[in-house]
Amino acid sequence: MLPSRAGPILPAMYVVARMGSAVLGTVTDTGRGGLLFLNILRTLPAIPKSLRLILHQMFVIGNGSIPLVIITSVFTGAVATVQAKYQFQDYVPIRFLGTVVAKSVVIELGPVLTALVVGARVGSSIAAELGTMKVTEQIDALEMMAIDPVRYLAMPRFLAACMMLPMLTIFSDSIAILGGYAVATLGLDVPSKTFTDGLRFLFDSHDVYGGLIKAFVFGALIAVSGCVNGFHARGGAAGVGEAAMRAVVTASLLILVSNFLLGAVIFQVIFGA
Amino acid sequence: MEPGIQISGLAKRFGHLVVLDGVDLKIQRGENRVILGRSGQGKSVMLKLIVGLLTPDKGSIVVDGKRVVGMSRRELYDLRRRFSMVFQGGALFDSMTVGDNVGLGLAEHTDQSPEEIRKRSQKSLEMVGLPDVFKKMPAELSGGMKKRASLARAIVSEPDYILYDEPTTGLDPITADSINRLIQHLDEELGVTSLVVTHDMTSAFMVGDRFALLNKGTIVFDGSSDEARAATEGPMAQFIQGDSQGPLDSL
Repeated sequence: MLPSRAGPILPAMYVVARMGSAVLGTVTDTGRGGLLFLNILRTLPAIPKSLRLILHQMFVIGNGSIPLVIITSVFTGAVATVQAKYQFQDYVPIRFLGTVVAKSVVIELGPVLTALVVGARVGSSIAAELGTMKVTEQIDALEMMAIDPVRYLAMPRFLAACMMLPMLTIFSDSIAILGGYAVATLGLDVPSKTFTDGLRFLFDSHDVYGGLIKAFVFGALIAVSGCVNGFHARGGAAGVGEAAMRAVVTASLLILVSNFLLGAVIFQVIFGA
Repeated sequence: MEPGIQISGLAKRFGHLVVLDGVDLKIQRGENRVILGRSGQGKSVMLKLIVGLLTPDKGSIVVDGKRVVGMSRRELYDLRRRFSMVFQGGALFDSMTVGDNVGLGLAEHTDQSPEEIRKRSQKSLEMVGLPDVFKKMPAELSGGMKKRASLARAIVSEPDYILYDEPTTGLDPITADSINRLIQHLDEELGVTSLVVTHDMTSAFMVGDRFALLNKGTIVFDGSSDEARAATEGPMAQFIQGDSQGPLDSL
């Protein structure tokens, strides 16, 4: 319980109390997320029984995100191309334009931006759906029917997100590079062959694999964040809204932080060795 | 092994709020037990404690000779397969049709074919007077129909115990009466043990043969329907009369 602002407490104490509360909240959320992750792993032997649910969630997550991914990716590729051309000026040969666009898209922009937009859409949707089920006692009803909510609700969403994020990332990479190609050839007077030669130059399949590993982890983070916030929603509509908001914020922060850590591990330690 | 439910010394608090403070109660097999009490007295909490949806702080719950507190997840699920619960708001899964709601338990726990499950679900819906809603979504049903569909879901697995959480709350008197008659009919036809949580006395006298009154975390009356009806003083009489003055606190 935070002290009231109106009380005789010093402002500094109030700030400390707020910080303490935030730290406790973060530790609690991390613990809940970790426990849910372990519980999801416990239910993995039930995959055959949940196949229909997993396929349904793959459709919901994948198919529903395609328009959003197309729009994000086209403009990401376009901006990357314009910015690269501008940064090159007369110092870097234009034949490297395709190389820079492809590398930045495949390693960073594709996986991260896809995860952020899909995370906002899917994370909030999962948290709102499960949160509504929680506050209307539908999750208790599942428990009463001896159906494990982690197996029935969380595991299919988790696996679907882990599988669909890499697929959406491949799709996003392709669209972004096409967008960059279109802008370069139609708007920046870069010859088509120059751009495509640049794409092939220094191409390393490890870049793609690294991006896809990141996307897989981002999918897991989005699903766990959505599920954990949904399962712990309290109150009515306001509680569900709060759960959806927290799911998106948590997933976005986790994506950005883990992107740095994963990048360091994958490209410096594993592929860099 | 004594069949039925034995609750002793049951205590539960949420933060600083003491909800149950040493509840002792016995429910025998085949009995229709009504648990009465004002709003916020922990009636629904008690139902959830019995089936392990909540964990008590103290006390024991024994169902047909087996202690509920401390059961593993698997044991709890085995126990719950012998129970059904009708939730206050119905708690129908709003992402699936009414028919799928009713048949979900069978689809998950039995080897029956989809056709057999469909037939049994349809039969349950007919028993509660809803023969034409199999393909409808819960959002298309009225409040009373949702409660009936929830009842159909409760009986389809032929449980030993059915827990009703405020089965008539929020319904008009005619619909409430039809729900009460349905509960009576199901009790007679299926021979289940029923626990009905309510503060609706009309409903209580229609469906219950033994009453328990919960106040301030403890049972303050435990007796038969006739004893409850005959009470002229004390908490039960005050509750039946709906008098704000008496041993039961008002606001």
